[in-house]
Amino acid sequence: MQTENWKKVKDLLLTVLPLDPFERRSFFDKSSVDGEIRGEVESLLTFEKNSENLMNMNVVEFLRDFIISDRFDEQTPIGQNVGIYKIVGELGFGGMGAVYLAERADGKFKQKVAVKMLKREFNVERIRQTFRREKEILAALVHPNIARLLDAGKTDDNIPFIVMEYIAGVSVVDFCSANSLDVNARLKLFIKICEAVGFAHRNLIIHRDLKPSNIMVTKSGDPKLLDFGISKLLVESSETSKSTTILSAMTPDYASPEQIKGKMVTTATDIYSLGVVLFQMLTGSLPLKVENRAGPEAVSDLMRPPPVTPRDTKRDNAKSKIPNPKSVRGDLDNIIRKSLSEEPERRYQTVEQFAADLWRYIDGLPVSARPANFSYRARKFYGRNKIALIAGVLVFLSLLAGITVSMMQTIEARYQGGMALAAQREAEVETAKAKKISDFMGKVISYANPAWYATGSRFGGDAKVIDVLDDLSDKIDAEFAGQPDVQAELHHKFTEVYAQAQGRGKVAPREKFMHDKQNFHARRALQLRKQHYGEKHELVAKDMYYVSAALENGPDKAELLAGAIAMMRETNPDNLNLPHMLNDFAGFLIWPEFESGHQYHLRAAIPPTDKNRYQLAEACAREALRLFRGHYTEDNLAFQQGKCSLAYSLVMQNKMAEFEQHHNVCSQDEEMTDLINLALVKNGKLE
Amino acid sequence: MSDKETPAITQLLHEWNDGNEDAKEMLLPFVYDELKRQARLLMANERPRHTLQSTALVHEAFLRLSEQTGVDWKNRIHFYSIAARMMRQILVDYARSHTSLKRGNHKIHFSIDDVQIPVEERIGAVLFLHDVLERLEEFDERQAKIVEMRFFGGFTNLEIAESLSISDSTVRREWKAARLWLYRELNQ
Repeated sequence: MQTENWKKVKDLLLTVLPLDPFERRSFFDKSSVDGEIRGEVESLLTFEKNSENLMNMNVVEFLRDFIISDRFDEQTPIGQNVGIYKIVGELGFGGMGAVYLAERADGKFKQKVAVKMLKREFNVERIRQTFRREKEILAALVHPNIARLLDAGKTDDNIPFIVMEYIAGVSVVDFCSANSLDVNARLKLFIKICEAVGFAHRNLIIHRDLKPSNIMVTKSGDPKLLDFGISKLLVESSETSKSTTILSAMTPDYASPEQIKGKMVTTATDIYSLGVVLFQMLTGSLPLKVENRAGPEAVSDLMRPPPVTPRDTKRDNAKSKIPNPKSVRGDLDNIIRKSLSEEPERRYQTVEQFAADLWRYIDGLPVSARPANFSYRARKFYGRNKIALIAGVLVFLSLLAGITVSMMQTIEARYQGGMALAAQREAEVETAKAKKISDFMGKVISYANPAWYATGSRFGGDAKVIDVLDDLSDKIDAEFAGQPDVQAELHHKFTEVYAQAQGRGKVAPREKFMHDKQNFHARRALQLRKQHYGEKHELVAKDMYYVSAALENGPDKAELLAGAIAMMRETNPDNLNLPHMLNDFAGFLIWPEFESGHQYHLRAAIPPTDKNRYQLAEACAREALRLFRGHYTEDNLAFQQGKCSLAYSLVMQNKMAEFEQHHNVCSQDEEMTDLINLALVKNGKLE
Repeated sequence: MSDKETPAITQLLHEWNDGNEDAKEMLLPFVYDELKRQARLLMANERPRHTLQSTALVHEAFLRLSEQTGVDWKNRIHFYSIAARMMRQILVDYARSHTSLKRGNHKIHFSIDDVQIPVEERIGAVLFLHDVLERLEEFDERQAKIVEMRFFGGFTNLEIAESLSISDSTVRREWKAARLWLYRELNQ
């Protein structure tokens, strides 16, 4: 029907509708309406009586039976097979999807998994995209504290699903209260969570929805991050990230101010959410209810001390390791406040810094979240033993000097050779780097100025060299941002310094702190080195070695060390670190307390059974000794350790004749002699 | 509905409001969930069929959504309009994707008397009405909107008048005229 015509029809219809039949007829007679229009109106009017009941109810009433029937319901997929899994129960519902508990249906072995499926109604392309992204992100995140992606696919009726590791556990907050963990245990658990989040960040992934229900803790106390459903890739194109924005369903209680305001979201957002989680882990309540967070005033409320302090949490006060609850409250408050700062730039810049501050707190060291002032520093330092570590600083200074000199030389050499434009540009970059390093060095040298340590100055008159080092070590990433090679080298050197520093301190927390520092710098160096040199490089191998050195004896260490050896062989078999690695590996293999030889698997050539453990140790020790020759004399400690490992492995293999040639070396060292004697006793050669 | 989804819904409602059809597509399942929940609630207080105030269902569902999400409907115009459109969309989409129905039966008059007819046929009739309404939209958008708000939204003439900024007597006359036309089209 023509719109124009309908307008005329309707006008006439609306005019005559209120009239009675008689009035209508006279109206039509008097008016001069177009015959066609009049015909249409009269045709419609014939339905007047019949249409009276049309839609005398609404659609809900009309379809009532349908709406309340089960047919309107989504069919539950319980019992359905997805891939090789069979769905056996429900775990939870999100907006777009549901998560089900499933079991392997192929009978190969019993394994419970979590299956996330898109709801039928959501099976549209835009949402499938974000679902695919979650899959890709999970695939990239293989970490012991992140629920792993196991499989993915589509059901027979084309609904996408992903299969994840099923975590039989409770939320981190429930875990803390159910086990009545003390404050330090809670903090350590939280630090593990930080490590997982930090790992995601290093993979350029922001979680964006960190909250207790997404952080499950297993019976053995291992936290696992779940649900990267709304996580974001830092390097995402604006188009992809827009599609996620539409679905950026964060949880208001844990969302950062910038998230709530819809502003740019960075890793600082996760740090904020982690702050809320930590607050809840320690106090059992949220910093502030979300409805109070609307205005700026409410946000400043958030900065008030927590209404419930860790003192009030359920724990045995007698067992508490914190001597002075008042200071606990102060420092932890400061740490949490810093993480909950409204401006992202005022929070911790990395999750690692957040965790490091918590370690400092645990160790009774000054936390960075607190503005330094004399009395505070002095209080913290009081009672701590002095540790002489001038040597460490000298190593550090020489390292910096070394880097600068070698760079200068490179640049000079290039200039002399006459350069192409590209090489010139490269040289300019190197020059800028060298400049930065020398600036940093200048700062380092200024630490040597006695005025720094005078009463009332920066280090409050009571600083030790290690304090200066701690301070410097925190600055590496900021000072050399954008230069992963320099950062890596510095982290690497700090690993050495902290490794060497241990065993000299007399205070346990300090030892622990230094070990953590060693661990941190080793890992950071490795990560940066990979970033700069790729996955396979002799420096990467060296860093893997350093990381392994900071690990406890166990399968992880074995695997990492074996991997480092294999990589070093491949990339530079002449590297002097190779015999050291082999030596350590031999030592690791014969370590008498390490009895579970069948537990680990190695990437090394020889498969490790308990039987050939000593055979492998012998081979490693022999190779190490061969490579050491020409570099070290026989009284070198590493050389002696190698000989000792060899001797031990020979005894254990009952190669007594060869043993006799080596054991005299070992007798120089008491501990090693004990070890050999132990082997002899074990093998029945000694009573 | 878990706490997690609400901000997403807020954003989606806003985006849909601004004419983003993708947002609508994503919004539907949330609304559908809420609708079903409300229907259940309503049916729990089973009352004689003819007094069933099921308009409350639509209203409740959307009110709850907007309250939960803190959507600021400056006036209720948007709210009523979106609610009715949603309701129509949901039922039509759902019926289409889940049933293989024949076109509506001419005998169905969308009245209380029809509720004895098998539900399958009634769904088919709603699909048919939807098609017919689409034709009406082509040449009289306002009238189609009134029908949509009455039948799919369950709103009163007064509410519709407020929403469309017209007098309620106009709504009443338009409604009457629309029914004449619809009746004829549905029974042709």
